[in-house]
Amino acid sequence: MHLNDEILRTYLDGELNGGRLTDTVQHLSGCTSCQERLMQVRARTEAIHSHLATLDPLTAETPRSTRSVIRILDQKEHNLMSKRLIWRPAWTILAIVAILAVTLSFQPARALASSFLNLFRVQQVTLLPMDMSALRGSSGEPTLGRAIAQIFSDSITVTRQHEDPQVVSTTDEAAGKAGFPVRTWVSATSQPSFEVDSGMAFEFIVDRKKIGQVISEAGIQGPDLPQDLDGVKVDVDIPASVVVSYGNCQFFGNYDQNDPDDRALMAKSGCVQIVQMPSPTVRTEPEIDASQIAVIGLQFMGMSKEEANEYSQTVDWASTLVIPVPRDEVGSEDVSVDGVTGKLLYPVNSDGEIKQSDSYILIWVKDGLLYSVYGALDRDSLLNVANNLQ
Amino acid sequence: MSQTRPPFLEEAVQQYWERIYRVLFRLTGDPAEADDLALETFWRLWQKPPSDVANLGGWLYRVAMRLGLNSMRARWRRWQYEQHAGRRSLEETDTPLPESVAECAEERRLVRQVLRQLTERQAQLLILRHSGLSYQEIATALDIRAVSVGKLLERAEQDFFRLFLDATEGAGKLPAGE
Repeated sequence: MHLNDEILRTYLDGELNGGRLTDTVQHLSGCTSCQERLMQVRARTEAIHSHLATLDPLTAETPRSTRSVIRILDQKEHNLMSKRLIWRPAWTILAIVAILAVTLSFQPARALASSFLNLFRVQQVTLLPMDMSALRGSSGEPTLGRAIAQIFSDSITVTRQHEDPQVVSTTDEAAGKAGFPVRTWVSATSQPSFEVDSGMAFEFIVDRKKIGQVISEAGIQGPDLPQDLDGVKVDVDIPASVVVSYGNCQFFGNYDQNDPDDRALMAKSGCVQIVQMPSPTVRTEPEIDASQIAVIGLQFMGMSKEEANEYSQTVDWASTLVIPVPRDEVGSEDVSVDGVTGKLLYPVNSDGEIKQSDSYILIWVKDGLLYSVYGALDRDSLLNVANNLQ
Repeated sequence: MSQTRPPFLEEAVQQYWERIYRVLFRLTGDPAEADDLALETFWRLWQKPPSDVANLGGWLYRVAMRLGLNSMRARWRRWQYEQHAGRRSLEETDTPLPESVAECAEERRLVRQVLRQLTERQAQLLILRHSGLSYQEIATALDIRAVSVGKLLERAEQDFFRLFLDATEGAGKLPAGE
């Protein structure tokens, strides 16, 4: 029996092995007819190969360099992250932690002028629209995060460890673990689930020289660091927080609003999440000039020295949580919520118009607690949730 | 807060970028489109990487092939619409090539014409094999069994050869390699 074309083709491609290869070689060595057929199959294969070679890119059609590919992918990731920074559900907590690590860590109160203990408490929230690209370096690492890590890597002492979030099933249980009264959405049609995050606390001693070095490496021409900054002890306490969830929020952690599949899932999920957290506290010993430190932090985030100085004067650093948001991508308005004034954030297009009607985040502070609500809701429904907590 | 570039991405770009681009170029015949689709392929690798990165090549080719086919189908629909509307054919709208490569362009046109007459899978098989993929890589890329590749490839070549002969005879020209 002769070898068929499939075997011959596979043999020519070097894809025969084991017993099939041995048998084929053996057969070919003694079969003139199959040898001739092999030659024909080879000629045909080579002819086709030569025809297909005309599809190969010509000089003007050669691919871009791999370096350029990486650069484009990084840029694409950056653009996406700028959006995700705002619209990912865990964003509120992350922003709070990040901003604490960035500037609030240095922000003392001025209330107890000559005391050894200063106290910072969030009483209001303000948004700071800015070009977020400054936050990220070419390697994809956040420039700011790297700088902060450099400054604190070996000077931080954790005084209360962060623990894995715990899922609990009742309001009382959540309140018991978190240490503050937890509010839920009164008109919800489904049962809530609760996740309690332990928060953490840490302290560090400011090393003026080291900070100066990092600032200089970051190419920032900030103000001279005050002499009395050196050796200042800073205590940061990020309290426990609770996320109350309704509907199906399983996929929410990886939600990508640019992915149509994700958006369809989101619309169907009925997911609403309410984050609650007591004000983080920052104490310094002795008092340090908050606005000067804020100017440095703002320059880290891409502001010019003049802009940073100007902005710094407009903020009461002792009581204000400053949340940076990507300029040109996020719009906001003051809204009346829960008896106070809150901030409603939404994505906008380049003309400043609202891009999607279901991507809102609401943030407010009441009675020393920081709240945030987001989910698969339109503006009015979201406000309705926020106004119906108890 | 940030998603940094995964460690395997740069290596994958170094190793596969050119190959993926070339395969997509052969499939689409359009450098800009091949570039777009190849970038999209690696973007997907970053955003939603396979759970097992051991057979990264096969995964990348599979994603690229799907993207390429979707793009081809869209072009085909556009082409049909334009034909219907009495506009120029797709071939005529391709980027003009210099005189020196006109002959090559003619054969290229013919090869594309023949590939379009094959089934999508056959066209993909031929392009992937011509691009140097092993049977195992082709199997992963096209979601078929590795043991079936030889048979399918053989059949695709026979059909290609027959159709190419028909086309060239119709055009009064013998195919290269004969």
